[in-house]
Amino acid sequence: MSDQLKVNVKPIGLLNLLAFKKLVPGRKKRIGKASDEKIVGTPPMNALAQSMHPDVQTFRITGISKCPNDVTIYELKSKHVAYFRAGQYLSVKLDIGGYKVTRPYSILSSPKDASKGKCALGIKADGFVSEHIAKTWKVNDIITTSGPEGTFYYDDIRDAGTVVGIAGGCGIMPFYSMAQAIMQITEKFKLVLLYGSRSAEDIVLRDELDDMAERSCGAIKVVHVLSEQESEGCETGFVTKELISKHAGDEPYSIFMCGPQEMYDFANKEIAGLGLAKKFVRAELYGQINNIETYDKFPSAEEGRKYKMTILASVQEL
Amino acid sequence: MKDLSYDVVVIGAGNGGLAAAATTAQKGLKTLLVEQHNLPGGFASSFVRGRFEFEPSLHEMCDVGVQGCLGGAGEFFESIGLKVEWLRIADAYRMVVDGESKLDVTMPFGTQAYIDKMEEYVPGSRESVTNFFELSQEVVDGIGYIGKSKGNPDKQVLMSKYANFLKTASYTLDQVEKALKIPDKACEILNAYWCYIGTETSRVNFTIFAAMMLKFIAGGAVIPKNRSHEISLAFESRIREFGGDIMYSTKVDKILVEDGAVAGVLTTGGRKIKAKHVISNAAKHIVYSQMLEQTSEMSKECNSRRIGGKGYVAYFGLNKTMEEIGLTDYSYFIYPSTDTKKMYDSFASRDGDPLQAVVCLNNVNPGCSPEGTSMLTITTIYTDDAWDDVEEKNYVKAKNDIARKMIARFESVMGVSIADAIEEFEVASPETFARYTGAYDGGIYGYEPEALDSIMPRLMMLDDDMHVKGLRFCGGFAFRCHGYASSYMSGNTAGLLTYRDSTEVKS
Ligand SMILES: Cc1cc2nc3c(=O)[nH]c(=O)nc-3n(C[C@H](O)[C@H](O)[C@H](O)COP(=O)(O)OP(=O)(O)OC[C@H]3O[C@@H](n4cnc5c(N)ncnc54)[C@H](O)[C@@H]3O)c2cc1C
Repeated sequence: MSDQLKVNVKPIGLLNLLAFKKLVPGRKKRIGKASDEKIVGTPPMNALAQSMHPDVQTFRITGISKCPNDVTIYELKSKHVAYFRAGQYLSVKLDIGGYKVTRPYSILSSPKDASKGKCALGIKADGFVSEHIAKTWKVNDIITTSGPEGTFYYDDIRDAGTVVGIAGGCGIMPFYSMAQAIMQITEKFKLVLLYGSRSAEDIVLRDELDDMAERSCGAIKVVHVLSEQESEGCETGFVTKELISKHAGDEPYSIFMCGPQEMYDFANKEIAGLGLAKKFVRAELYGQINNIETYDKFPSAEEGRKYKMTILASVQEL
Repeated sequence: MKDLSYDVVVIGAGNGGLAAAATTAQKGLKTLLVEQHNLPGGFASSFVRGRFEFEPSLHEMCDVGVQGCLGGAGEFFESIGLKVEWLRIADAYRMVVDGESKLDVTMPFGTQAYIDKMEEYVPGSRESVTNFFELSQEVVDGIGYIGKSKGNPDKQVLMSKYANFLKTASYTLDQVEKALKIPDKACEILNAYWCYIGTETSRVNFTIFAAMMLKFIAGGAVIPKNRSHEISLAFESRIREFGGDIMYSTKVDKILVEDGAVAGVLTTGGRKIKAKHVISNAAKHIVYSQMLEQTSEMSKECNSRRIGGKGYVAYFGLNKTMEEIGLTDYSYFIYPSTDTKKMYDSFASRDGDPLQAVVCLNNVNPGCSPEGTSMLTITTIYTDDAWDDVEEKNYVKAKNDIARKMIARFESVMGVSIADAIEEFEVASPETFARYTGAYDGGIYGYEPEALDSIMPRLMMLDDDMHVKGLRFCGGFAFRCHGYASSYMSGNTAGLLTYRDSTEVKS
């Protein structure tokens, strides 16, 4: 070492050299004296980790209800449903014709329901897996999912006291969970929901949402924004910055978005005009982008290029 | 499923397991590393929230050194050709005590600079603090000598060259500091790193503290440029290049034992892997209670030891720079007291005002977060049943209450404001550490290194502690005690000993 000291320590008279020789006998004695009671069971923190984050949750489907716009709500039951934060999702695990697939779906039921062994998912049939689900899931079927995942939830250490939720179509699900949590006082923030649908007939869970808003003493406000229809009591068009300013109220707010990519593309341009700090704008990753090559930063040379991927047999497959 | 067969199976790809697997694979043993998570590293990892990539655990690593003057860990890394981009940390720490005894000191790296600074803060401390470092150097050299002698040191050499190392090995830090006549205030400043070990100075063994202190202060400290995940990935590639195999997302359920010797392991998926040697990165508590038949010697050994601290870290992604906030140092210790016993006792409850070890990553690694932003993490420790009343339903409240308390405390002590700049926020609690690494009850600090269970007695009793032939341990719960450098080095040693065992079996 570069700056080794040249000083010599004088022998430390007070401490006994023999003590070193006593280390091993001392440790042996200590072990000898210890109880021989077996170490058993799962310690509390590992047990908490297992109940909060199970690898797999198994549910029985107890109810299926059709909603507008190809959305179906599945009510689920299980002996233990991992508690979650309103806004989180479950990854549904499926085997479709030998292909193992997982798909994330936001939980629409409330955390309080989870502690009663209940849970619900709202799934729009618009892809390979979701259409398979719509066709095959029946009441009393057993399904498996992951534990709760995701960071699209409210946290007062980070977020403003009011959340302006911008929801598109099926993106209402996490907000529906948050609204119930607010009603049940497991969450404490103000929710202003700007909920975009094509027409009044397309609105999922409309009555339930309007009812919660009415009973919430001002904690929840629901504004339906219809893109293709004018309707009494609803806004028309898309969620613009004017619309956000009009409904957000006077307090500082965070914007939470959940919906299709086209909605984000539009809303982001609008939000840019509001001068909000980045920390006050969050979006859930929702579905895939179908036209990625049309995006600014997409490297044009890559368009249409095909890749060959070789999977080295994992040791597990040997 | 076909049974597999290896010379050695390493359970767990934490720091210890990675180092062990790299060592045995380099030695030419047919090596399989099995990890339950889908990533290597255990605590040595990284995670992303929004536009921030956080360091989950590493504050600073000692014993790496610089080219031409490598520390022990640095030499090991070089010997396996590990490629990591290291950044050096300028100052050792700023320690702010805000309680009945006020203190605000900034201590540098470099033994001479440290002693000089101490003399400035505590006039008259020079001689005794110099003796402290001289003695610490002897401790490090003594451990090194015993290591090189493979457990068979020449008694004459020991007595003549390392007498003070031997003399102090069975004492606590407090006892030796007193013997050296270090002024109280200098002890308080010197003991700042106690929270990295987590056992109060009246119980922690002098040897382990002295070795850590010397390695940090004389050798300096580093962090990898791309979070500790970078180290883990570098190990992963070297293990593969040495011909080792790695299985991720695979948990070892059982260690198979035949005639008192290791015969292999069984994975959760039901696959049997034959091996005469197993190195476990999982703690003895886990292995003995879950993976094999527990004998009364095993129970006694576990029951005689105390599990070290459980981790709690609050991670903040800020939308201001460190300059805007007004924090210029990398490492802050914010202590409510200078009484380590008092602080240690407070770990047993979530109520009090916890000590804080604060890291401002941008102050050493300016490019670690996007322009105009910075990251700050606050770490503290809990013990015993401090978290046992926490259930799923009050978990978020429990973890956020502590974070709120910490922010308020830090703001008032440092005279800065961070609450309004929090863009991303995450907490790792004892539950989180248990979840990602299987850490026994969320423990991140191995077994407490009390005088009778510190590095020397553990080292001298490695053979006594081997309750199943062929089963060795590495990592934070193993004989080198916890910490990055120690867990890598314990993996290296466990790998070398296993290599030696394997040649004995063959011959
Ligand atoms: C918040 C925090 C801050 C820290 N700060 C510092 C610091 O600044 N400086 C420092 O030197 N040290 C620090 N440490 C300590 C250091 O991180 C640890 O001592 C070290 O990482 C321990 O490594 P380990 O080898 O014990 O492995 P662990 O990280 O405990 O990893 C064990 C691995 O084994 C796997 N595993 C367990 N059981 C099984 C099984 N049955 N089958 C398959 N896989 C299994 C786990 O998934 C895990 O990957 C800190 C730790 C924490 C948590």
